[in-house]
Amino acid sequence: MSTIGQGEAAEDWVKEFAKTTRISASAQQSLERVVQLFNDRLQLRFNAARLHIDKFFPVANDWIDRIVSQKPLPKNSSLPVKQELTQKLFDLVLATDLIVKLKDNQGKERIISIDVTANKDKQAEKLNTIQGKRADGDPQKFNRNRNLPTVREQMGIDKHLVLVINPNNPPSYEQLLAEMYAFANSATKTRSLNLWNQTKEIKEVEQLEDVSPKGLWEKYSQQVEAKSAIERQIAVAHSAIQEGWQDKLNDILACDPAIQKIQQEQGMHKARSHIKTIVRAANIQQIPPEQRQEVPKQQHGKNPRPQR
Amino acid sequence: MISIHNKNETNANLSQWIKNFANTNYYKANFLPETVREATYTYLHNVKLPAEDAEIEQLLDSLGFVSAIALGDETIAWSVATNRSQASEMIEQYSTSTYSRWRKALGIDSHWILLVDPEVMFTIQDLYEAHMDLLELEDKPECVIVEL
Repeated sequence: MSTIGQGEAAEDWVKEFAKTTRISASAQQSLERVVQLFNDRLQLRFNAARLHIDKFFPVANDWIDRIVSQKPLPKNSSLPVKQELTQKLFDLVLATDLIVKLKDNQGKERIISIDVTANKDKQAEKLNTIQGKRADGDPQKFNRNRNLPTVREQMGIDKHLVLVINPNNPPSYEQLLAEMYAFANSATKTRSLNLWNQTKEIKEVEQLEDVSPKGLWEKYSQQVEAKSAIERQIAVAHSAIQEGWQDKLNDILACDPAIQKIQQEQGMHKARSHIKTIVRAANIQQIPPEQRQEVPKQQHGKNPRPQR
Repeated sequence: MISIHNKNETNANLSQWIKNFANTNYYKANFLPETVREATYTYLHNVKLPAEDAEIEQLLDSLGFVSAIALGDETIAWSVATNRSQASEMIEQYSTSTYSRWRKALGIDSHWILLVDPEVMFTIQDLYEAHMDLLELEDKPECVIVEL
């Protein structure tokens, strides 16, 4: 068993993602304002949080008492500790593990709170929390989360996301970033996003199909029965064009051991020239015989249509 | 005969993880070994305790407690279960009047059976949310399953 839980590992992964993709942001609120607001509007959550931060921040409760009774903090209260304490209060009271900032399609900056979890069973409960709904454990006529959406807005946060991540099988940064931008551009203020299983499926597909030039050469060359190397090369090029790999064709053919031998024995120029001939021949095969008058020297893009 | 869910039954790594978590995030509730022994001899006649020189942690382990913390004014003992049926068995066992008297003798206000998924474990945020479920209860049970 790992020394840290999956939940903490998931949080660390998402924080690293935000840092690397440069969307990481901070609360931009003073500890004094956070304490006053939490104490006024989210009292049960705040009072419970005070108990759970006591060991980690031995000064916290003294500082909080001073702020609540509008007394100044001790002169030695350092800014980094204040920031760290603010972050911890955000974590517990406002269900915010981290804050990110990104621009939507209109160029407007969106500040998003993220509550990360590795526990799929907590997804619905966490969404309830950030939507200000009653927790299952609340007694009747009481809602500990009631003011959470208002307080979030007062903290300058536009949106709130519950993110379910498997730290042992996380999504790609590209995938998560695309999801973040999609959320920033959506009209909804809260969302829960489960990337636990989805990622696995995508990775499985990637593992099944090797789309590197070498992988494609092996795939197509195994599918053909050819009498000569040239026949095999044309057949492979033909299959690759059919499946939309026109732009990778030269690289795919360069993986053929026969072409590598030409390059070794007769030089790079000869090998390139040979590939060019093969590509031209394969392209001719794409065109119906009655239209084979002119073949374009080079085509771009996938699945080019035959010239008509 | 009282059956004790000690570390022979619960994964030792799991217990160790929870002990580390408790030590990192919470103040430990301190008991004297002789107080634990005396309370156990008085109320839990069938429990076999480790040798006389055993440390307090071993004593608590032998009674099925992985940790005991001080949270505000409360002293809370933790046991651990990894599935619902185990948690239900434990709640039945630990809710008896003998265990209640034993806890009172040690100054333990609450006994939480932490129901955890060992594959995922939990964060302080999970524990905090679960704790809030108990704060507003009018009749707070002394022994309770805390689902994490």
